[in-house]
Amino acid sequence: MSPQTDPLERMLETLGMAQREGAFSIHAARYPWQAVGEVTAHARPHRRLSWLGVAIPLAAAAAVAAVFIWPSLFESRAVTEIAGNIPATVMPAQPEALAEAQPVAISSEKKTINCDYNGDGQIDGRDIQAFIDRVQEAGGSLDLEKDYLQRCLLGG
Amino acid sequence: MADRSEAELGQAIRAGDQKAFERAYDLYHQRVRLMAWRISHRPDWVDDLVNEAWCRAFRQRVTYDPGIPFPVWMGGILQNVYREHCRSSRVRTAGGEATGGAAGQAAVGPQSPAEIAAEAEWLEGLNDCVQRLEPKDAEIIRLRFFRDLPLRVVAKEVGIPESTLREVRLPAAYRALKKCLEQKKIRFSEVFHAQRAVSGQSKGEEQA
Repeated sequence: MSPQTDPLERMLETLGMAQREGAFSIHAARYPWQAVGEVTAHARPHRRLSWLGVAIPLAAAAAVAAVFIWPSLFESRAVTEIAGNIPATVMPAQPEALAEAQPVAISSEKKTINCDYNGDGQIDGRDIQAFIDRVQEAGGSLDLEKDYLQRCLLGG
Repeated sequence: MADRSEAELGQAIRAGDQKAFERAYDLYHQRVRLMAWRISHRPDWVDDLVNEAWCRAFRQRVTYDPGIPFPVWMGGILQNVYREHCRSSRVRTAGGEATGGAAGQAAVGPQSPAEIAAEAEWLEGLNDCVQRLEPKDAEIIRLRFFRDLPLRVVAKEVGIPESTLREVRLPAAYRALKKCLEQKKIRFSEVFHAQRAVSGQSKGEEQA
């Protein structure tokens, strides 16, 4: 800028720079000190209600538990009751005890349950080996099937 | 504060009247913004500086001396806020190194709050006068100074020869602006003096 430049031009240049750099702005919607106060005022209720952030997920989890876990709770109680009817002397079941158990005659009612694995008309310890052979042939899990056989042998 | 109503406003502010303070904000917020821009030379700091200065002034309003023009009082607060902002910014940056406008206390410069306030008042008045120009003249001023376009481009934009623009239209616009400023009772010589001081300071900073 030359020294001969009109002082007004210099001020206009300064004004132009102020315009370009955003030194002019429209009137703020609220006063700065009120904005600070509002932030503080909003922060308090937020803090008071912050427990909802924990309570709502917990309530939702409880509702899900009530819907899905409650019925299975009754089912497991029923299983427990059935297990309670099994003679305690036999539990826990040992292979030797099962082998020495008295043969259970297949009544017409129980024939519907296919536990006579060796096909001799009786459900006894001799069915164990036949059971093992059949499970191995089928490629199944011995653990999954043994409870079923155990119940048959014990007359359940 | 020459105006009686402004003197009353100052008294009310000192008495803690919130409405009076809000009135002061409505009157001076643009000027305070310009002051923040001139003090800091940092457009990205202006919002923070202005907000902090107004909040601080609001908290300290009962300490306001009505004998001091309100913008001058705000200018002093702004300078303090700016110094603190520089310090905190310097702490945040690596190893406390400060550069340019963020050099802390030294960057505030030799201008007094009164000089800063006068220059801001002048800029605000000049901006208002530009708005009041004839639309064609206002457009020329905006293109030339606000958009920083060369005269050749401005002449092309407004569809007149460059020589006409330089020798006829711009001088006419300047005369209209000076007349408007005189009507606003803005003392041109004082502000120009302050402007020269600011330019000298800016040059010194650039050289440093």
